[in-house]
Amino acid sequence: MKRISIASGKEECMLLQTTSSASYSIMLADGARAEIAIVNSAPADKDVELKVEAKIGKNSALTLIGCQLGGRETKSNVKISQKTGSRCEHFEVALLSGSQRLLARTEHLHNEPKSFSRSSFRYAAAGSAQVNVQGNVEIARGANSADAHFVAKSLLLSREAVVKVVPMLSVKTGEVTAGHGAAMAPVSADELFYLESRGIDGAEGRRMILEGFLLGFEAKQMSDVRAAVERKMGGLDGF
Amino acid sequence: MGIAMKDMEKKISELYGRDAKLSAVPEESKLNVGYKTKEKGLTEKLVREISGVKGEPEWMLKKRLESFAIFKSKPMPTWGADLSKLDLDALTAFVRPKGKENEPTKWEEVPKDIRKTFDVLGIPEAERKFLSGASAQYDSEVLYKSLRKNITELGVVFTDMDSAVKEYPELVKRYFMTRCVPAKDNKFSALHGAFWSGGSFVYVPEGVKVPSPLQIYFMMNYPGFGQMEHTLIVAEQGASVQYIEGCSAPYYTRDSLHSAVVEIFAGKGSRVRYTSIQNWSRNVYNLNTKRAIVSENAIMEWVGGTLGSGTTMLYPCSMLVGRGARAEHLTISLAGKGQVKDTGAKVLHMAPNTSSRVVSKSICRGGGLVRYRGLLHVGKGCTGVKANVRCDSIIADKISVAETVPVIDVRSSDAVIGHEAAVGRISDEQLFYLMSRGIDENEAVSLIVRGFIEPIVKELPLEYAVEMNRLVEMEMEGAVG
Repeated sequence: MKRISIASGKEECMLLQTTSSASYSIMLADGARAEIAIVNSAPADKDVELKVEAKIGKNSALTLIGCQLGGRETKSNVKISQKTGSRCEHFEVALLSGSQRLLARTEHLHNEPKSFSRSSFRYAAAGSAQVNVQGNVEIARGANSADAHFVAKSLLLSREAVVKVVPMLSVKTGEVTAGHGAAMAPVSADELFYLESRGIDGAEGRRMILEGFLLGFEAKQMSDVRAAVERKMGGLDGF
Repeated sequence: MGIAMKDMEKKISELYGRDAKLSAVPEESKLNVGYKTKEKGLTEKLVREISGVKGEPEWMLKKRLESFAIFKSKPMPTWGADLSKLDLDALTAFVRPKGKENEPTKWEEVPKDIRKTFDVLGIPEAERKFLSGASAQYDSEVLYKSLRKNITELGVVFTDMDSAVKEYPELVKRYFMTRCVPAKDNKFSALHGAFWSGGSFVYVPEGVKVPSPLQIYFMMNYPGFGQMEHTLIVAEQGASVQYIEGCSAPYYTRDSLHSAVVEIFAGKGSRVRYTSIQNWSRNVYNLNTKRAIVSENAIMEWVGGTLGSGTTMLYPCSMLVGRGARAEHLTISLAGKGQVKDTGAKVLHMAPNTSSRVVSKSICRGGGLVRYRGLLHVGKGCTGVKANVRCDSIIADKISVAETVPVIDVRSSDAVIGHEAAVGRISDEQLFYLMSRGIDENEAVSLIVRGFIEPIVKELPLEYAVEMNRLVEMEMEGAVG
């Protein structure tokens, strides 16, 4: 297990590329800040197991980006727990093709008051890829004024692709703001038409829409994540 | 639930002391029992006794025995609500009400004590005012039923399930626990298949539109009782019908079980609305299986309020099997002290161009637990599917719990699916605004809650909407401050 500790008052930014199973323990001391991106680019014939456990200290902030592109079958387990006044932004991006499978479990625990989280997951599945996601946000008793929101959006790019999403929410105190959302839709015909009317052909239009869908968030390491996603998109048929 | 329920809670409290405090089990002679099964525990002998007492045909006994074998082979469910304290063998599975042997055809022929109970609930008044047909079940069997003459002349059948077995055997054989809710579906559907009694059979012929609702009211009076009524609704092509169920029970020191099965067949182009207002006392385990098979271009609407019972597990299901079929699930769930409401909706999109909408509104207070559990499935090749799920919860205090467990399983690339859930408290800002306008705190809470449940209440007939608002208000009394 790789241990990543960010000391109190420090700010760090790191990109972790993996081509095989990996396990990370992330500890943010009180008042620390970090942005950590984990990109899974394992070969398409390899099964991968990824584990991430993040503990966010008081008044500290973590931006966690998970990018699932490789592996034949990827099992991803992410567990995040937050203390008083902490903030967490969690982005998960997955682009799967062929017969790739992703089994993702995330558990987000708001253990103490005034913790804030935003989780935004984007999945695109082509070929006969399968995505199975279970996201659980739990606000513990006494974690008053917690604010949590979880959204999972999926694009099915082929008839054989399957997406299963279970966005769970468990709230054990009254003074909170919490919500989740999930959406699935095909590539919008209206958006494609608009792009075509601007001289962008169908394949390029689909590529632009897919990229916009997957990478619609801001992060310091966006260029690295974008490069990895674009490499994967380059290998996809039908775009 | 009847329309003249303005003082229902008060009157029920007068009759039974419902929820104010536990009522001691009354003497047997005061329980309006006509016949009670002798066999203790859930045994094959009991299955045979119930079937024999009812004078059922051999094929129904065979079906019961098959269900019983399935029931014995299945373990108790370990997910959802905690059922570890439910002692099925301690239940009395069949109690025939006093007066049933005379088969009352007029309200006046129903025994006085039982009539008084239903009078309090407003059943006869509701029948007179706005129903096409009314029925009342007391413990295991329907004691009174009526259908307006002009509706009967249209070929509509509205009778109790026991009579249907004898009078419409071919229809019952075709639809009863075959492909909609087979006994093997789950432990409690198997239990139901073995010990069912009472309930409704509704048959609406092709093209017939029943102008006003059919209603049945269930009363569970015997302590430690298992009420397992069966509802079977068949709407043929182009038909339409609205069916309403209400229920209540006194609050005894012994737990009871309500394990109903509802099967609905919505034929091509038909429209069925099933409304259920559940207000069981808090010693009742309410474990039901409700499902509809919805054909081409048919519309199935489930409107429900789950207010009472101690533990509820209820997930009405629509199987959209015909092109263009549509389902709507609108539910309110309320959990107070000691209550667990594990409720939700299942929609299976099994044909192209099907659509569905689920709206669930939950409120918990006093340590109650509300859990939305849903399934949205879109099958392979089901193109043009549109579905939307919205589940919102209000937590009124710091000790209650709200959870959502929605499963979204999509196997069609052009499906448009939306799911949204929000959990929060009654907003201080809204309360402050209303109070600054001179509205006192309780009234302000009441207004906010009314607004919260309004999308569902507006789908109820006016009389029910008024009553639903009032019941929710009563449950919310003192929720803030």
